[in-house]
Amino acid sequence: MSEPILTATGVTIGFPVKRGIIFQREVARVQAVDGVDLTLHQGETLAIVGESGCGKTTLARGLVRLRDIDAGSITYMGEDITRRSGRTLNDFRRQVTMIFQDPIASLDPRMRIGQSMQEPLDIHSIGTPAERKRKVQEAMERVGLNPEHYNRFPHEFSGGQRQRIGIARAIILEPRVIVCDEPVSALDVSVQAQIVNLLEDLQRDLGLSYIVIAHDLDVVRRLADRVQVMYLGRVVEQGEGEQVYNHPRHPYSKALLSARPIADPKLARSRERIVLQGDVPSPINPPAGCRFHPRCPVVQASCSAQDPQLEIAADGHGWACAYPLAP
Amino acid sequence: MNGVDWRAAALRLALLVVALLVLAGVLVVVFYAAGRPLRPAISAGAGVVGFAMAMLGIGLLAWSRRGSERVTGGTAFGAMALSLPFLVVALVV
Repeated sequence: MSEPILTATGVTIGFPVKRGIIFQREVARVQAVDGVDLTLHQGETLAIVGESGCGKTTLARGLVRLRDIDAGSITYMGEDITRRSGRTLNDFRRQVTMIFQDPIASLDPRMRIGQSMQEPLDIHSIGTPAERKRKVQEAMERVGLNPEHYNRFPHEFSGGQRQRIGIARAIILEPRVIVCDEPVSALDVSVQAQIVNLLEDLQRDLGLSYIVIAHDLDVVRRLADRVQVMYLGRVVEQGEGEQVYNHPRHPYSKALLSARPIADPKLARSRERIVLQGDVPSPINPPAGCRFHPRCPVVQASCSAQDPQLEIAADGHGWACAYPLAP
Repeated sequence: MNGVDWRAAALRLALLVVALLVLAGVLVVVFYAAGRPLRPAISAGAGVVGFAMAMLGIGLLAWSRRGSERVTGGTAFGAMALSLPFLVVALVV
């Protein structure tokens, strides 16, 4: 396998819970991401899956340095970018861009889409105004938009077209890595397929590496080479897509996969469905021992005491469970 | 978990006090310009700010009693305490 392009080691991101207005005191901390490791190789797609609130988006924003991380390190092309700021951080942001979840909220309603897409070029002072416009129109053409719509406003486009605008804006700087934060979750199924195809085409043509944050497991299966499953801020299972999908070893991964809707009603009725009991515990005060133990269908007495770490086998399949499921 | 950042707290408190003084000053000017003599104008300006802070304190107290994550009883009583000097000025001048 090629050299890692982006590596995160022990990334921890928390949000303070404060009391008071003048004499503010931190009374607790929401540990959204807790010691996550990941490695992305050139041309690879790594998917991060998990239920809402497990820390996927916070991790994504940390990886592109849209928010600072509390602990751990992020390395891009062998260089530590964790504490970068100013011009050197801008250089990194030219190489690693992001596609946001909500195509409506991620576009300024008062800016023409040409201006919106040109903004990264303006920030990085790339080309003359005429070259910038040409680059924007090329990017529009590449993502399947009509370049003549350069002067239109976001409200004049459909949801799928707006997400294409977001994708065009992400590729306009010719990055090497794109972090896609739920790129299709706000779109209907037929448009989802178009966007997934577009992402695949761009990856093939431009040699991009993707980190795809998603909770739609079918989209992940289609796009991802490797998958990491997150639960309450931690990675509980990781491996090649087929390993995680066909032989999940962590009970949470299995439950997550069993919740995936199947289009064939006969098949859907016959399969084993695992319904997790209870709610996701509070990340302010996570359970002792294994974080999944209060909801685990195969919980053992020792699970509330021991905190299993992610152990990775020789084939790259890893899981954080003291009593893993049979393959 | 961290304790109180006293430096930041002092800065926030100072900013609030300055903002209240500026507001009271503006009101005094407005009342004076409207034709009131100086002392009643000062009384009215300080009175409006003091009354507003007292009301805010009562509101914050109700909010804190409902179980706010952010607003404490201390915040509410602090707002009421801040209203006192203004009310005293309003009554004495």
